[in-house]
Amino acid sequence: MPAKSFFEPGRVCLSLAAFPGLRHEEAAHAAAGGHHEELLLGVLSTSHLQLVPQNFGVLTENLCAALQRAHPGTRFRLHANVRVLPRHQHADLSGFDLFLPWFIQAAKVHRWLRAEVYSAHAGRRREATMEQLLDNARRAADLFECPVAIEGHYPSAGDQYLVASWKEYQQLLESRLPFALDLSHLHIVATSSGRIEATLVKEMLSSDSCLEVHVSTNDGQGDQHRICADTPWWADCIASIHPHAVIFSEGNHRLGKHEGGRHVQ
Amino acid sequence: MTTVQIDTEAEGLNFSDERRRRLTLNKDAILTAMRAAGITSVTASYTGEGDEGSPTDLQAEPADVDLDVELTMAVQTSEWDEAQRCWAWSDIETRMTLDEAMSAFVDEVIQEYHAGFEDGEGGGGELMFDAAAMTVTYNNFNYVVERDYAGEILL
Repeated sequence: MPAKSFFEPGRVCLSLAAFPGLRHEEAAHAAAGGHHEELLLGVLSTSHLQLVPQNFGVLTENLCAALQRAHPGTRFRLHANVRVLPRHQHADLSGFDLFLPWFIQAAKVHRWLRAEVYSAHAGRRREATMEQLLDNARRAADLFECPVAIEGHYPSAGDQYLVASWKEYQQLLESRLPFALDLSHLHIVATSSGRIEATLVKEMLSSDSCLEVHVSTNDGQGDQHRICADTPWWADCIASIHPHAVIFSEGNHRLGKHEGGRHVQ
Repeated sequence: MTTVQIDTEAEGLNFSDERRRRLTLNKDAILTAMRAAGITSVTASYTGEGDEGSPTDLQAEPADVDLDVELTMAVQTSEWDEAQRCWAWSDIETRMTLDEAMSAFVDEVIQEYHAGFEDGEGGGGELMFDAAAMTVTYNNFNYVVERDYAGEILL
């Protein structure tokens, strides 16, 4: 039996990952144009909207200006390797030097949007060590002239991602660098490791380095971006979320109507 | 797995009218440019996982051909209409190189057939541009996790 909403109405914002396959402006319009509510997350807000790689079209200066005119009450921010160039790039923080032209363009787009935070995936072990990743995040913050939040991953075939174990999440916390914590990624870490590090999760959520919290659900195997319908184990931890952290629902609202989500045009 | 012959005149492909028209125009523009440049075929492939897609990889036949040739593509663009409080969509003709054109074409096909392929276990797809046959064939897949259970043991 699903529980009642965990959050006050509007505490959780929509990530445009909720509308994969749409252009950025279509996704923003879909977010702002309807009432979006999830059983466990409550009424979702568009006070912050995250522009994401699952959406299409290139974020030009004109488009950024138009997005802000269309949604004057919304603060936009970029996430991960969102499309900022005509040729899509697999730019993660691990590949900061490799994809420097992409990061330079993303920093321009970030300024056009007057965004306050940029969050990015940690990336792949073949591109950087943990130490190099942390250094890249500091350099990215210099380039963007704002906090750059590192988002960790989860175990994968070939162990290809950085920040994919409880130990590495602990290292990320101890680095005191800004981070984005994806609770659905942690569910995969918990399933894979066979244990839940609730104390660490609470410590991370309550840290002032926690700038974003991402929420969706999955079966513990892959990051399926489902809308939360049943009470997850991390429900016990969310009271710890730092008041300044922006919470984004990343559940897929294009599929979500059967999974505890509601969209009214 | 979904295999689709990209024949935008066919019924039932569920393209919006605008996208159908744009894909028809762009398919012809790409295949015509390929013929003019002596390119027999190009396979465009993409993959994604972990919330991210990778750039489109292009393999041409013959392998040493130049994909920098320019062509004109119809590109969807938008303007925010302040008075109507809605987005006004239109297509503009844009000069771009063949590799950029193919990437743009792949993006539109993904939007139609494979939205969110980066989620879950991820997935990918392949488009085969055949200049001789003047066809484009599309095939996509999603990765799945398979569990190999040892069998139930009563303890």
